[in-house]
Amino acid sequence: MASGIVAYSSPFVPAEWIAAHRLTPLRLTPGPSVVAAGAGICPFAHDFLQASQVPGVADGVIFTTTCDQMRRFAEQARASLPTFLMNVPATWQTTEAVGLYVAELRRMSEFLITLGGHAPTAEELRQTMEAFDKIRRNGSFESRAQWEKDRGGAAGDTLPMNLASSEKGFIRIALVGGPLRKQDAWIAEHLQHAGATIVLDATETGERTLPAPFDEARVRTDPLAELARAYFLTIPDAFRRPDSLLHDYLSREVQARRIRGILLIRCVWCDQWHAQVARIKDSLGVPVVEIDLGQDDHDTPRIKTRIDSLLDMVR
Amino acid sequence: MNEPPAQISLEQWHHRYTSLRAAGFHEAPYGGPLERHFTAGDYRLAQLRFDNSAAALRLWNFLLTETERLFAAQRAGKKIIGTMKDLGTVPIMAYALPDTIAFYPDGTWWIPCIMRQSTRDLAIADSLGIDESFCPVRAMLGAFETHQHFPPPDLLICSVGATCDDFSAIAQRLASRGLAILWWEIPARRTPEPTEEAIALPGGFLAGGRQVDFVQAELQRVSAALAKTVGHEVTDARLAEGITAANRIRDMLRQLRNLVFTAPRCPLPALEMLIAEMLAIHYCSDRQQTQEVLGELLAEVLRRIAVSAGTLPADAVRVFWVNPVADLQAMNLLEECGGRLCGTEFMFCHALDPIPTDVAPMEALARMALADPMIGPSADRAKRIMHDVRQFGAEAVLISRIPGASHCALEGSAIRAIIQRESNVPVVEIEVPPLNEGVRASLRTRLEALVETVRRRRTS
Ligand code: SF4
Ligand code: SF4
Repeated sequence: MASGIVAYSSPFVPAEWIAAHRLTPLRLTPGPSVVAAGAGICPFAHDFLQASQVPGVADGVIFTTTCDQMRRFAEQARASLPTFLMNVPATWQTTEAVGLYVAELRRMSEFLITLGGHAPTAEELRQTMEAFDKIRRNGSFESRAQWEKDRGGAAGDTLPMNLASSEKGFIRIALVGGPLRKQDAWIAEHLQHAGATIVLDATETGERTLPAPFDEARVRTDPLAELARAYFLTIPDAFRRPDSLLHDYLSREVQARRIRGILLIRCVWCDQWHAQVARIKDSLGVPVVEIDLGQDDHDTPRIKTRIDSLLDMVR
Repeated sequence: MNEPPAQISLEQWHHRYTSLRAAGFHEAPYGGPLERHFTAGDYRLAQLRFDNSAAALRLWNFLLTETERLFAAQRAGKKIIGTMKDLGTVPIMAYALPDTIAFYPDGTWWIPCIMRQSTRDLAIADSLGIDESFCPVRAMLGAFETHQHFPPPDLLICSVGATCDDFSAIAQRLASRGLAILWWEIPARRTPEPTEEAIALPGGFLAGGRQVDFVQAELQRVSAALAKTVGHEVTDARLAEGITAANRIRDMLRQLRNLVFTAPRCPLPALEMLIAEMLAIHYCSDRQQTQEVLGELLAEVLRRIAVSAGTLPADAVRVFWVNPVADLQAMNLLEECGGRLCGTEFMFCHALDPIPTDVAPMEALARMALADPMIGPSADRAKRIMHDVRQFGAEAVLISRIPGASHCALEGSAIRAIIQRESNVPVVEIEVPPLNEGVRASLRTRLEALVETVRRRRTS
C-alpha cells in the first residue's frame, strides 16, 4: 500500500503544493500498459490512467482539464482511486483565469486533506517552495545521473531527454511536443547513435514545463499567489488560449540554443499537438519532422526512418 | 394545398412546389424552389428525402439561405458577431442588442456533407495542417479563408476550457492566421463542494455557486466586448428581453419535440426535426423568422396528429439519437430501416431548456452555459439521456460517433455502459462520415439489426 503518494502527470499541478500538505508528489511517467489504448484514445492519457491504478502506486490521483482525454479519463479513475479533476483554465491573460487557478489549488487542498494530508500554513508552504526552488536552481543539466542525484525524484520533475545526450559536435536537435512515456526513451538513444545531440527537450516531460523560479519577496508575502504565478503564468503549452507563450518560448530557445532541426513528437490522436505541427513548421525557420507515438509500440522502424530523414535534412 | 404527409425527393419537390405556387401559396422572402440550392452547390440535397409540407419547405429555405441573409445583413449595416463553440449562450446576448446578428462559424461542420465536398474548405484545412483526423468542424478554417459561407464577422468570440480539443485547436489555428478572437473560459462542470451553494441548472444538472459566479464574470467580459463592437450596452433589461424571446422559441421546440416524439404515428421526419432543433442555437441568423418557421411546423404537426397522419408506418421502431450526425442522409437511413426518431441529444440540450427568469439575467445565462452537456461528466449526460429515453418511450438508443472528434471514443462507451447498466434498452454505436456512401451498407446492416432487435423484443 502506498502511503501518502499523490500521482499526477500535468505540469500545472505544483509538486510543492502536494508536498506542503505532507504528502508525496509523484509525477508519473507511464510505462507500457497491459491493455492497449483503443482507436481515438490518446496512448499517454490511457497509460497514465493504467499506471496510476496499479495497486500500491498511489493513494490518490490528480487529473487536469488541459485536454479532453484527460478530463474524461478522470471519470474512469474515480471508480477505483480517490481522484481530483483540477480545472486548469485554457485562458490565462485575465485576472478571472488566475483566480480560478488559485481557487482550484484551494479545492485541491481539500482533496489532499481527505487523503490524510495536512493543510499547510503560509510558512510551511513558503519553506517547501524554497526547498524545491533551491533544488531546481542548483539542479544540473549536465548529465542524467547528476540530475537524478540532485532531484531525488522528490521535486515531482521528470527526466528531460537532453540529459541523455550531452556530446559535443553532433547535430543540435530539439524535441518539441507532448509527453513521452517510458517506452519512448529509445528515441534519445537513436538520435545519439544517428549523430544528433538533444540540446532542448521541449516536450511536456522535458524542461519546457518547469515552473519559473520563485521570486523570494513574493514567496514571503503571498506564497500561494507566487506558486500560481510561477506555474500558471509561465509554463508554455499547446492548450493555452492564446498559445503565444509556447511560440515565444520556442522561437527564443531555438535561436538561443542554435538548434538545427526539430523533432516534433506527439501522441497519436492528440489534437492539441497535432494542430501545432504546421504552425511550428511555418514559424521556426528550421527543418521540422513530426512523429506520432503510440499507434503501435512496435512501430519503431517507421519512426526511425522519420528521425533519420530529419537528420538528412540538416546534415 | 395539403397533401398526405410523405417524404419526397428533390425532384418531386420541384413538382410539389409548382402545385403549391399554383394554389396561391404565400412564401417568406427567402422562399423559392428547393432545387435552386442544389444548383448553387448544395449537392447533397439530391440524395435526401424531405417532408412534403409547405412548413418543411420554409424550414429548408430558411436554413439554406443563411449565407445570403448574413451577407445582406452586413451590407445593411448590421453588426455580425461570430460566436464559436458555446452553442447557444452568446447569441442570446448578441440578439439582445439592436441591429446585431450572431452566427456560428461552427455551422460549417455540415458543409462537407451539404456541398458534397465540392468546396475548397477541407483542402484549405488540410493545407493548414488540420487533416481528417480532426472533426468535420475543420471546414471552418477554409470558410474563414474563402468568405464564401459567411462574411468576416465584426467580432469573433470563442469559448474554451472544457471544450473539445478539436475546436480549441482549430480556433487557435484561426487565430494564428491573424484573426482576433475573444476567448472566454467555460470550466468543466463539477459537483458542488460541501462549502458552496449547489445551484440547479436548466435541465437538472447541478453546479457549484463558485462556478456560476466565475462564468458570470466571463460573460461580463463578453458583454463588454459586444458593447464596444456594437455601440450599445448589454443592459439587464435588454438581456431579460433576449431571454424571454429565447424561451419563447425553446418552448415551441419543446412542444414540437413532445408532439413528434410521442405521437402514435410520426408526424415529422427525423431530418426536419434535426434542422428544427438546430434553430435554437442561434436562430439561423434571424430570431423573428425562427419563431415563424417553428410556428408553421408546429401547426403542421398538430394538423397531422389530429387526423392520425404520419410520414412513417405506425410500427416504426422508436429510436433515441445521441450526437449530431456528420451526414444528414443518415437521418433518412434510420427511417428507411424501419426506425423513427423518438428523442435526441445533439450535444446542445442547454440550448433547448428554459432559461431561468427568477434570477438576474447574466446569472441565468451563466447557469445555462454551465448546463452544456459536453462540459460535464459523461455520467451526467447519460443520466439526462436516460431520463429523456424514458420520457419519450424510446425503444433503442443510437450513439452516433463523429469522425475525428476528441470526445467520442471515451464518451460514447461511457454513455453506452451507463445506459446498459440502468435499462434494458439496446444501444448501438455507429460512426458516420460526412458522406456515408463508403460505409452505407454496413450502416444499414447495423440499423436494421437494431430495428430487428426491438421488433423481436416487442413480440417476445
Ligand atoms: S498527449 Fe495530447 S491528448 Fe494526450 S494527454 Fe497530452 S494533451 Fe491530452
Ligand atoms: S462535433 Fe465534437 S469534436 Fe467536433 S466541434 Fe463539436 S464537440 Fe467538438
